[in-house]
Amino acid sequence: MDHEIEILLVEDNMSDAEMTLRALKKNHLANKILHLKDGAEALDFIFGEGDYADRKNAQSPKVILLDLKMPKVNGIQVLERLKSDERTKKIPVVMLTSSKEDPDIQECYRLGVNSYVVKPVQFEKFVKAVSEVGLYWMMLNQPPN
Amino acid sequence: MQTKVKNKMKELIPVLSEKEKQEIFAYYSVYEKYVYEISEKGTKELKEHPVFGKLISGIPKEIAAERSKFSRELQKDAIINNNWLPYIEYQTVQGVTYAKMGLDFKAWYEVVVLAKNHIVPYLHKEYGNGMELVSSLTGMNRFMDIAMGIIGEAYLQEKEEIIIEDTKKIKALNDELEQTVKEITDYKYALDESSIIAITDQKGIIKNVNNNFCTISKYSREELIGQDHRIINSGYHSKEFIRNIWTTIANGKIWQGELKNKAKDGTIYWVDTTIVPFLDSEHKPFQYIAIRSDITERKNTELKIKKLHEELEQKVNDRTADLERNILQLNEFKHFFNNSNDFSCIANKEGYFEILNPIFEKVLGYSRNELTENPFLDFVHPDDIDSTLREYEKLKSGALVINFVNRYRKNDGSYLYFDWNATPNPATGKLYCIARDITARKAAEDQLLSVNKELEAFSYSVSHDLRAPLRAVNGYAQMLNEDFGTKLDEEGKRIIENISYNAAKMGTLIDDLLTFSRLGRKDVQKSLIDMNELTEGVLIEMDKADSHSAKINIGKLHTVQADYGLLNQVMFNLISNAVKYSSKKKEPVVEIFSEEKNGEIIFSVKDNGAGFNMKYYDKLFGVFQRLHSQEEFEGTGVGLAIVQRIIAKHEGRIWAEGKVNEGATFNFAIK
Repeated sequence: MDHEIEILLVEDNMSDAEMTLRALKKNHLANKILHLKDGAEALDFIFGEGDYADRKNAQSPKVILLDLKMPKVNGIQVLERLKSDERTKKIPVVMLTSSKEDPDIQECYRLGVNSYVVKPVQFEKFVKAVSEVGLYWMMLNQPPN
Repeated sequence: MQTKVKNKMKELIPVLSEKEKQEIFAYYSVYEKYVYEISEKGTKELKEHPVFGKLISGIPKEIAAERSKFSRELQKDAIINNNWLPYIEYQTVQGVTYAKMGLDFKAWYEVVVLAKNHIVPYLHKEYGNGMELVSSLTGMNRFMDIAMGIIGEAYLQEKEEIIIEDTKKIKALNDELEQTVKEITDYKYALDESSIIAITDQKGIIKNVNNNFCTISKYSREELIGQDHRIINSGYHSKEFIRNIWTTIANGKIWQGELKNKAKDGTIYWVDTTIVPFLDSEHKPFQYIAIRSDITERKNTELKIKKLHEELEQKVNDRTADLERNILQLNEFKHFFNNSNDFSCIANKEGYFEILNPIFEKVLGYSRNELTENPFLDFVHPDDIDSTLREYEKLKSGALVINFVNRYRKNDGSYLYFDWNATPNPATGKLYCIARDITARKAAEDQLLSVNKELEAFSYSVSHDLRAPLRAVNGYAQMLNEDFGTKLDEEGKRIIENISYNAAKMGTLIDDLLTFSRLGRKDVQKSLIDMNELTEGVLIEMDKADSHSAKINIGKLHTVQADYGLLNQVMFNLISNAVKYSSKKKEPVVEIFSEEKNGEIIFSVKDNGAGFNMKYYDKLFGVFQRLHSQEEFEGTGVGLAIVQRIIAKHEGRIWAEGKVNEGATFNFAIK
């Protein structure tokens, strides 16, 4: 974990995680990616707490790909925490989720999500969606200094 | 004795010559000589005289003798001594007495002639038939004339006095009579003027009537006279009443009463009547006078008052009956009130219950006093106090409260849900409230709510969790193809394709199912929709998804009040169905049109495609029900079920007509 983390993927579903990583790899974005399996670990990592206490002042990732439904701390709670903290509110957060449910989308935008992407069931579409998200945030988006 | 007579006495003293004196003496001496015999005979004669007999019979013998003696002495003194005045005085008294007694002068003269006849035989006896007898007879006649003259004069004088007195008396009586007659005439006039008078004979036949009688009865006098009173009989009084009148007056008694009579023209009048019977010497009535006064007005007033009285009484009776009915009704209401399972109460504006029906005590477990002596807010759940106060203020301002729900604490600390309906009486400030215990319903609702929540959570899970493994199946199949495709033969590749196809299919199924279940919870939000604009939008959306070759004709569509998103879904499903099922035709045509009929707007989507057999119509709108195989036409069997559900939510109707290979028409109607 010495090298800088640019993309943080928080996803409890290993299949989805594998497909996401595969899509990103195809676009050569996989080397600066970290995959964490739940919301609690993600928060520890970002705030340099718990197992990640040594990362206290480390650079924030360029984008966080966040699943909605996860054990312990779910995606919405993670999002709320990030967006309500001055240190982390500028980090772009993209919800990558299976849920098309309107209340979920509404809630995420209310909390200040930067993007909300529904994972397509079809593999081709899924790969295409992930690739586009990765490329956009890594290449096109200009983060604040 | 009258003064006038006294004054005249002196004039009565006779002036006698010597010769006359001797002649009177010649008579007197014989008379004196035989006086006892003469007076005895004379007294006897007098007793037999029709007038004097009665006069002297009452006088005792001694007094009569005394008087006679006194009279003779005065006579003797006058003739012998020429002292005439005492004799004249005595004789005058005699004359006045006779006059006062009403004696006839002639009768008295007869007595004097009798006396002469008694004396004459004694003169004959004394003087024989010579000159001496003539002389004594002349003397006797002369004396008798003097005595008679004195008595006659006194008699006449007295008689004159009496006549004067009597004339005066008669005049006074006449005056009195005249006065009485005048008074009676006045009375008669007054009676005639003021009263209605009829005189009848003893049989009741009218003999006379006055003008008033004619005026009120409207009959002329001629028409009335000779008739009896039946001519004005109104028929109002009973026979017994009339009989009683006759019995009374025929017995000579006065009858008095009120009678109702009928005039010639039929008008009715009332008279206060007094019938006076006039009786003959045998005390039998020979005529009757009926005196009447017109009391029609008074009687009418009386009748009016009586009628008013009766009306009043009727009203009182009605009112009483009403009241009794009301009490009965009130008791019935009371029965309702006391036995109702709804909580009924009257509260005041100070925030206290005043009247509660028994179920309050029974169910809440408090005593009546506890309920009425504490503000009702004390029994309300703390979380409901604000809303209860709001409703209470609303009520006090005169508004109704309908289906307001709050919680009331029972004696055991648990709460009941009350659904209140209340109405205020602005005049008294009282609040009339009825509550229904909806605790059980509320529990059911809560249960339903939690079931709904569960269902939502379930849908959420389906949406979220079912997709992930599908994506994985699909993804790994694809990865297999990408990574190991070179090592797989055609059959291997076909299998991978089928895996992907089925996974995608299942994705669509899940999506449709979720859409369908979401509809159950979604509220309809109506707005005015331009259906042409909506349909154009649907076509653009469809073109994005898939290409097709159908010719789509859209007519002028009606605007409609409906939920935009839901109606969009309806049109999308119907048009895409039409396109899908007509896609195998050479020239697929879809027609979209609308019409207004019986207050409904009917939209129709018609195609010339595969159609369907009406035999299976009942399966058309069922969930997962299909009339075609997947090989013929792909589909999940949810689309029409969604359409039906949306139309039902709009309280509209949906129906379809079809024929195999000749197309189908789907119609829906919205008000």
